[in-house]
Amino acid sequence: MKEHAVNPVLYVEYEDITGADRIFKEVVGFDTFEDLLEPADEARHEKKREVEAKLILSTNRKGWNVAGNLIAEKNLSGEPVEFGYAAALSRPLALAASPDPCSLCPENFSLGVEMYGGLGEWREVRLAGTSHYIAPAIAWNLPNGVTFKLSPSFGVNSNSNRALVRFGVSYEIPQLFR
Amino acid sequence: MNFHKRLLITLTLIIWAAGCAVAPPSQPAPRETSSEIRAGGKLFAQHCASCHGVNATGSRAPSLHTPSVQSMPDATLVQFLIDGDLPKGMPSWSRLPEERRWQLVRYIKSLKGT
Repeated sequence: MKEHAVNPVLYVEYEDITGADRIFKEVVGFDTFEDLLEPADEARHEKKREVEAKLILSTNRKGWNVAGNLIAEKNLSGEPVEFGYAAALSRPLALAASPDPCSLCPENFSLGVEMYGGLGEWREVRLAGTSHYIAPAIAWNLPNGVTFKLSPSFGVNSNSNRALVRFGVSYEIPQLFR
Repeated sequence: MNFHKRLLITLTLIIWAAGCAVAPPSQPAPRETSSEIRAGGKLFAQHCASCHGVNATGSRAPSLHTPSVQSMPDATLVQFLIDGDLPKGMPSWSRLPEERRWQLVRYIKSLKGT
């Protein structure tokens, strides 16, 4: 199979959470800073059973990784489908590997920037009333497959939170079956 | 200077720094030196050894010492790393920068006769 210039991946996830869940993995619909103002005690009563689909398009060129996500999220309690997007650009600090084992060498670090936000909802796809963020990101890939990511996000319009911090740890499992 | 201008300048500097920190490749294929081969060996241990074996003699995936691999042109091997062959269990390594794919191929070719 030939590598495509742009690689499409369809990702689907199901969440069973409450309104008190404050994690911003992505922004969709008309999410704004006001969503976080509701006291957790009250928000906890709001059930959110959601299916989220992402079309992830990415390409690698001359060391740069460019990726774009189109997000559709459906709350199964009958609310309309909400849309969002994310676009990112990143690059390792060194393209070639160094000859000696190392953890802190430039080849293990990537810098990038991401833009993400909401696009409204079904039959109301628009930018007005949505929130958007721009986020520098740094990733540290350890040789054992563990990756640490840190990304402070800054709101770019009046609906956004002023600042958010996203961080993550991931581990890539080597190929299990053939 | 308002918040958004400062933010824009900061992000511009980050992207510029990322670009500057990368040494531009002087030629598509790095020269075949011992350090390139050692770097390729390190990458092999990280990404390939779990299937091809620590010494590339084969495990769940084929040996890379075989004549069919060793006689393959370098550019063909690099392209194979980009495309992969998923039905046979070989993933695509297009996410690795081109420089690292060439280092891997230098290492694989250094196995000839070992």
